[in-house]
Amino acid sequence: MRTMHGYAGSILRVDLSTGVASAQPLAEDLVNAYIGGRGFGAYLVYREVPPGTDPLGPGNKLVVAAGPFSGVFLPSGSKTSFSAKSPATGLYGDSNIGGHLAGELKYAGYDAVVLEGRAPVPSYLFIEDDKVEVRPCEKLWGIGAIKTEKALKDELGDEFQIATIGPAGENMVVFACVNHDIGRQAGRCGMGAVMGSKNLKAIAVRGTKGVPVADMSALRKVAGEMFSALAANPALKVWQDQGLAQVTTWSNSIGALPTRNFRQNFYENADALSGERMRSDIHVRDKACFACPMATGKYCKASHRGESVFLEGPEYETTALIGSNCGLGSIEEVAYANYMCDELGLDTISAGNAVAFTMECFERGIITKEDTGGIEARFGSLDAFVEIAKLIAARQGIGAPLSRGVRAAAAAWGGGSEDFAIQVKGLEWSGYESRGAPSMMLAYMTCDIGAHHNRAWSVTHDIAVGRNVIEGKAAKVVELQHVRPLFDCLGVCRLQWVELGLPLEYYARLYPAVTGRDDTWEDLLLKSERIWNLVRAFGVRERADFGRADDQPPRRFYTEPVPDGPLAGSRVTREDIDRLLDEYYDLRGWDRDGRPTVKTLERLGLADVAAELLAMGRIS
Amino acid sequence: MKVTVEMSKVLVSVRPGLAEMTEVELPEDATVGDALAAVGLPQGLWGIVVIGDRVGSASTRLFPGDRVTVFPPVSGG
Repeated sequence: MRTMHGYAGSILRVDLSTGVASAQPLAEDLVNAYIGGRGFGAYLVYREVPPGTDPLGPGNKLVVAAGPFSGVFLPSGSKTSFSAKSPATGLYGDSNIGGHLAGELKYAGYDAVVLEGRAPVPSYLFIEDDKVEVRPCEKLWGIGAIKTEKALKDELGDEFQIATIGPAGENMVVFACVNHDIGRQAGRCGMGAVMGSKNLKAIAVRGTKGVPVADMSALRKVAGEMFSALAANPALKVWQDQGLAQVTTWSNSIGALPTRNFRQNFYENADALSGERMRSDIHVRDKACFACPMATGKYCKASHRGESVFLEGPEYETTALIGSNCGLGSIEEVAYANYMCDELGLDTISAGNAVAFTMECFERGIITKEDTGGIEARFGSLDAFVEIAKLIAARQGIGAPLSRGVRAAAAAWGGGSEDFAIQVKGLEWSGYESRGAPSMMLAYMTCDIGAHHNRAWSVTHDIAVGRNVIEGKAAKVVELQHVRPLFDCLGVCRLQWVELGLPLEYYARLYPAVTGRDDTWEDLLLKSERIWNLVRAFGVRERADFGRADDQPPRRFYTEPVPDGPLAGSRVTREDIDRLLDEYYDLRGWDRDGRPTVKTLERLGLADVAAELLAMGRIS
Repeated sequence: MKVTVEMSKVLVSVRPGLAEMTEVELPEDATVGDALAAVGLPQGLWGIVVIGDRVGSASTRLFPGDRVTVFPPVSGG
């Protein structure tokens, strides 16, 4: 059998219902068409999770996948993708995690793990090279995500890399996350809830094998050039000092910082949440993912009401959604709330949205203290944040409707709250308020998993070409939606490219060096486009009415002008939104209802998908 | 005085027409903000700015022969 350079060479399938595990050879066709990581997840979920499957039932499958760059000694080959049908959206979802998990998985011999069924009792998956076991762990059920990781490390040894869920995942909160390496999360789309639905508390991996690479000499040369370029970059120190927290004050200065449930995009107290304050007030030491010189992880300490906690973070997204969006007053308050979410196993982006949404409903009188169980749910209250977060994780009281996301909570509470439930497709909006950035708004509207920024971050494009300009912006979004997710397929972090300016040519040179394949960067981008369309096809197959209506922003963004700050008066109009979508669909080769055409799917090598959707009457 | 402004490749890709390296003539008491305005970089489009090997800000005073390196704002990971 041909050596799969850059890959461990097999996929591990684990039926949690029976505890039976089997390794299958990695198929050449899968590698050729879908690369790895998110690509493997999208393919396997599309093929193996039929329409109508309950995302929280045993029929859903959770794919944990590395990419060809994961675990290889090049800058930050650290990424692991978690993919499944999302309980937050009812559509395909994925989320990735840094740290050290992906490499360990490959060293154990697996490029991906497909988790099926449901364990009869709370369990964790133990992988040590060829030894794979589903082990009962009732004593860990109910324990926080970070404490669980520590308990398993104590039991198994520090060499094991561990991913866990907290109580929110156990209770199947639709925005429960997967935790790893103390403070890293696959936060979005409820992958932690899928684990919880399978009675799977944790995954523990230890590997002692290697990963074959095609041309070691070329790899050392290119990776060496990349490490040298990063080391010589004078901006590296800012990253090492502040990590992603440095963006808070910039985001505020340009009117993009979510504030008080996205009513505003400028926070008068932003300086108290800055990267500088994180560094001076609560920082303990730095932390890096696998083979990364940037060390953006920041261990911090925080105290609240006599309790002192130690955590990794907060970074920008958490600072924005928990901090300014809930009106908190200091970076230490944000850090404490961050810790609570991490232990409970809640995605800080969605949790920040959920609490801010509750606070706005409370202040408007849509809900009262009777609904909140006595909590004075006002902006600025850390106590309220903590109490609501605990109720969400437990799915009790006011936390029960919120545990299904802000879209569901708005449907339950009414009173016009749908207009300010800040989400797309059921996934809460991340950290960039976009009334002054139409391309960024389009990026959120069309992001394949819901309102997330990481597929296409284009705020600087809006600033560069004009913040009120509409025409031509869709092209930048489409371009980014192919480049950025490609990193999630390769299993490597984007930061070194997009933040420190490592040219994409390096990654193009790495690919043949690692894999021995002769794909050009353009070939890889075409595969990324294929994956994008496959994910879209998942939605089209799933729901007869899936399409343009799923790509809409919340009404607040086109009915309420920004009230204050540098962009006071700004909004995107309803007509702008329709123009953006029309232009976007045309560029993608989709019809005006947002469905890929047969021609487009065939161009991308998805003729079988086109035939399936055609037979269902979903596309033409 | 003459100052060199260097843009990161990502910035150049974001704003067509922006040169990767520009030498600008500035008054003696000019700051980083003046240099960035002189090369046509709008406010909000830059994040980290480095003068030689020191991190600076818009108000950092420049001196003849300085080399200013500009990076885009953090772009969402």
